[in-house]
Amino acid sequence: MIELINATKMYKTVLGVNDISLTLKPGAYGLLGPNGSGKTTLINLILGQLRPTLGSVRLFGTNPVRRDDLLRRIGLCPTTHPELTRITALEWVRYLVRQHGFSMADSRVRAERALEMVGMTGAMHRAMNGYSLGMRQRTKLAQAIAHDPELLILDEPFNGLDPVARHEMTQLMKAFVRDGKSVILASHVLHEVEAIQPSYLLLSGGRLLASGSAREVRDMLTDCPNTIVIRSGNRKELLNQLMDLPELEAVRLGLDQESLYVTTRSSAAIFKRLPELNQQFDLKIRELRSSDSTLQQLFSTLMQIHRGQNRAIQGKQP
Amino acid sequence: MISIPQILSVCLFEFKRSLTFGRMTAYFILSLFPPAMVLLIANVSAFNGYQLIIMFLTYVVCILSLLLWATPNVYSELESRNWLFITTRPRGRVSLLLGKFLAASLSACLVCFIAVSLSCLIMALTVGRFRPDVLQELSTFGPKFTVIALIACVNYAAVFSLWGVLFQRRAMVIAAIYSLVNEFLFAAIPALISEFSVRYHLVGLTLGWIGWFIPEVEPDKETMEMWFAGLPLWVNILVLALIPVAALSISAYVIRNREYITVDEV
Repeated sequence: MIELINATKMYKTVLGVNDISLTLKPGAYGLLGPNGSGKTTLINLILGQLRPTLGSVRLFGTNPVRRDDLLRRIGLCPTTHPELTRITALEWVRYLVRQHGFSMADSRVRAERALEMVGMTGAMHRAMNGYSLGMRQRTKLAQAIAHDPELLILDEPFNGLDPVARHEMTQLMKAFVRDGKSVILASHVLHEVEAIQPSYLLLSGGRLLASGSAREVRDMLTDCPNTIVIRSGNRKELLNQLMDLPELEAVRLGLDQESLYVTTRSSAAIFKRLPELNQQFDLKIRELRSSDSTLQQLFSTLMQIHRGQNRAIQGKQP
Repeated sequence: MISIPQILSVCLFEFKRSLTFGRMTAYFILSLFPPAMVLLIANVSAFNGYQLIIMFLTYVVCILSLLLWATPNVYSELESRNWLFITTRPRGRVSLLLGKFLAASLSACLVCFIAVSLSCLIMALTVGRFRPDVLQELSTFGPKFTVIALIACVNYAAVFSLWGVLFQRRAMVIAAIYSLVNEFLFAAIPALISEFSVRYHLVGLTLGWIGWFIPEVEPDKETMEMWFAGLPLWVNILVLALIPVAALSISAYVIRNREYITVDEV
């Protein structure tokens, strides 16, 4: 569906994206990265709005620059909010759908249906400049899906949405993927992306830090320092036993009298020893989890690698 | 490359967007400025050059309105963050250019039509009451000059659209400088350079259609050719027909191929 080969985009002397190579098959993708990491530039390269300074970009097998036929197959929900006075959501969505070549009547039907899907039917006759941020987001999503695209690209689509609206939008995207269509969801808030269970593309400083499923990305981090949280009814003894382990890097006591935050370079080794120690010293282990279980930690670790703060697994970067 | 329904859709949308207090005030002021000035000079009964006043004021109003509405075609979309929404549609960039050109042209035409009509009406109701010759002049001058004003609107809208496409920022300043230097200064120089202005050809068209209208200062043929009408009328018409086509073709090529960087990138 999308192929980038050593794609680099420079804005004069500023690096937008740096030497990105990737191949995306149809499916759901989470494009993750902090603000300014190059997500929007990457999206614009995919859309053909920008040309790569170096390398090449292919969308549906062809160069997307000046390819009107490709634009019919894409729905874009940019991060920006349009500034429109006196224009209602229905007028705006209808106007944009009309730009795809639909007749006036057809574009009205499609606009109404899309606005209904995002829960904006009740407010679609009101001027958009009176909308809340959440309503604007919904309207933006409506204009992206109204012409029934194959590929939906959403740039920070959850900004301003309340939890209920986020859930509804997530369900909408899941349904979109279930229908065999593709979604690229760019965000800097990771749990929003996790909800649609995508493959991940992690960007920072214009570089692709990692890509793959959550498990694949995590596998890269096996030799990276991990923090394990252990809740034990016998924390003092647990601490004593852990101190003898060579894999241990650091230990921090939790505030709840039971938790220990154990930092190790090999969490597997710790997990292997714990059952034995638990039985032998009556450690009363109640909970064992990795504090690295959220994608946020994964991303933070990759950022550290990228910045050279952790050189242990730099050779494993994509 | 061009879709008429898409262009008309953009034009219609632009008109809907323009129904704001600020824009309506601008329409009002620009339309009424020439008639107001004509009203001030209408009582000078001996004045024979009223056509020149109407023409000059209409010309100024035409340029001002198009500076406001045609020049910021790209900049306004980038600033109001609408750019990506429309340019990620098939033929979106060219439709945007031509739709906005059409909307700006029609707005300016409307303003100029009202300005010329009211100015002529004021002249007819004031001076025309005791000077039948003025009434007769107005009956031919009014319709003919209205057509010329509309041609001017279309030409300047195309030229200013080109400036808007070429210069992402400060397009209005550059278009204003162009108007002052080329259309006011160079167009008045009796040399070849004047032929590169729109105004030169508009003046040629005016003299061809309406003729010289200030009997007291009628120049001889040589002076007339040197200053105003050195080219045959058909050349003026041809040039005025080609300018919008050329300007819009270049604009379409540029807008389709150029990378416009939005503030949200990098």
